[in-house]
Amino acid sequence: MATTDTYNYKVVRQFAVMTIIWGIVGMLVGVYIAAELAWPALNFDIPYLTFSRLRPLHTNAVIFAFGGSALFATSYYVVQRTCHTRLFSDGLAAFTFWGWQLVIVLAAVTLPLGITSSKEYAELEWPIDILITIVWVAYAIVFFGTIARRRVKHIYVANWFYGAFIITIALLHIFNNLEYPVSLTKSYSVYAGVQDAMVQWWYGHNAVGFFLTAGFLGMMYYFIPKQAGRPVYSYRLSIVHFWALIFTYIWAGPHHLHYTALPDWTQSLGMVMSLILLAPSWGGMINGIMTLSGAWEKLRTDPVLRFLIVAVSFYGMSTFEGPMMSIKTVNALSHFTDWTVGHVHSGALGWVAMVSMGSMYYLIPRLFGREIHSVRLIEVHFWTATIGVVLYIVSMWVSGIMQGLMWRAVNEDGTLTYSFIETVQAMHPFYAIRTLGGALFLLGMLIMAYNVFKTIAGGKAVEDPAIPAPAAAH
Amino acid sequence: MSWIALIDSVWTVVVLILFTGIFLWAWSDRNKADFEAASRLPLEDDDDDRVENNIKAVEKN
Repeated sequence: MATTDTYNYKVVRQFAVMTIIWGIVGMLVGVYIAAELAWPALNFDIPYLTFSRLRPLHTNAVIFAFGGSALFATSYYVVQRTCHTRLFSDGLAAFTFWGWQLVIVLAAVTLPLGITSSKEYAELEWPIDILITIVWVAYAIVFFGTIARRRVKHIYVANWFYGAFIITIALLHIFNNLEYPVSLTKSYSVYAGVQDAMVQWWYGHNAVGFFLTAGFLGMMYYFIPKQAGRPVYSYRLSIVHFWALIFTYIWAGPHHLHYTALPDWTQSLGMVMSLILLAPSWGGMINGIMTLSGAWEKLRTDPVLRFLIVAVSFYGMSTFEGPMMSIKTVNALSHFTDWTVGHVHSGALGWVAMVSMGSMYYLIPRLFGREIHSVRLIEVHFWTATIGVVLYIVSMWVSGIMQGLMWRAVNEDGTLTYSFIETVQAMHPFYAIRTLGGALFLLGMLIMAYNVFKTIAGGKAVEDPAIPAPAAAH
Repeated sequence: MSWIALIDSVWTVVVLILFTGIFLWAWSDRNKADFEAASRLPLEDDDDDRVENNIKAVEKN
């Protein structure tokens, strides 16, 4: 009976610790390539250190290793605690942990070697794609198996978001990575030309929508109410916001392909759907922030709650910015500029990373049975990270808009006002500021690692907690 | 109109009706109490006591 009477915390602990480690690795690579853009000599003419090879390593590490581990950790914790049952299978859960770590290690080896299918955010070659698929199916079995044997009637909303994330990522991963292998390390997409581009950005934008949004909204719906000690502002809004997001997100991909060979109507459809997305996105943001309604003073004293709420505020900002940038005329200015990079990082650092950090600060003490080593250091981390994000996105806004304006400037006789190298020169100081912002964000992550290490060292892994007896019929 | 276009149109209408239905279901008074109970689900599961007990256990050792 021991297997059904307690929660499985082991796998949650493993993923939680790896979240922090991979966060440091991924962000370190990010800071390094940011520095390479400002000071190109930093690649030392070594192919493995060039921007082109390290950039996919950075994106894969922060999205799939850091973000992925955070999603695994929190989803396994939340689904158990809200379903009042142990994970469906300890063995499969352990398999997802070791399988996912293997995927990450393989990515870290192959990408610097230049082994890539060259699809953005789906660079990994076919053998790794197959491994991901197997691990992901195991994840789905563990997650939905746990829900199937829940001991409470209702499936809490956070689980809906995690569930949607798991199903959609399976779908996206499989269809975007259909490819003909020609050798162990090389394959070609089954799609060609504009179809390939469309499938790629159907994948790419929904990786944002479901990997980097839906799953992290699951975190928001559990950890904000827990940390604030009050139920979510409107459960009804959470239902409508969930379905609106599901029905709309899947169509937004074409906004990555404005003014390309993609049929014009498809571009316009992508733009309209992206604009509609503002409504469900802000529905979620309002729901998260208003959960604090009547308890705002907690923000002054609780840095963990501040991480979570500031994350949701960044979510609101970037989901406003995104639809605006999907408008074709705005996109004509922003596309291919640093503005896009700034936008992505206001979502990735401000929203995804900060909501994960807040959730980890909630989880670590509970997983290791020890108060956090230093609340003061959480405070320091919060401010370091916030200043880092602001430096990053503001420098990229300025640099990007300037870049776009310089590209389109023409003289009276119709010739271009600026040569390309002049725009690069103009961007240089902002690249330095961006590197500083990223370095501050990384520094915050190191402070977190120290704080967590001291916490773990002074505590001990809690024994798997008992599951509460099923409530009497009511 | 090709049959694919017809399926597209029918599907659009089906999804619109489905979403409207979800909206009305979420906001119907009949479900209000259920949703309020559901929103308390994470809060009724108190994992803080356990941390405190464990902290005591760790400190005792």
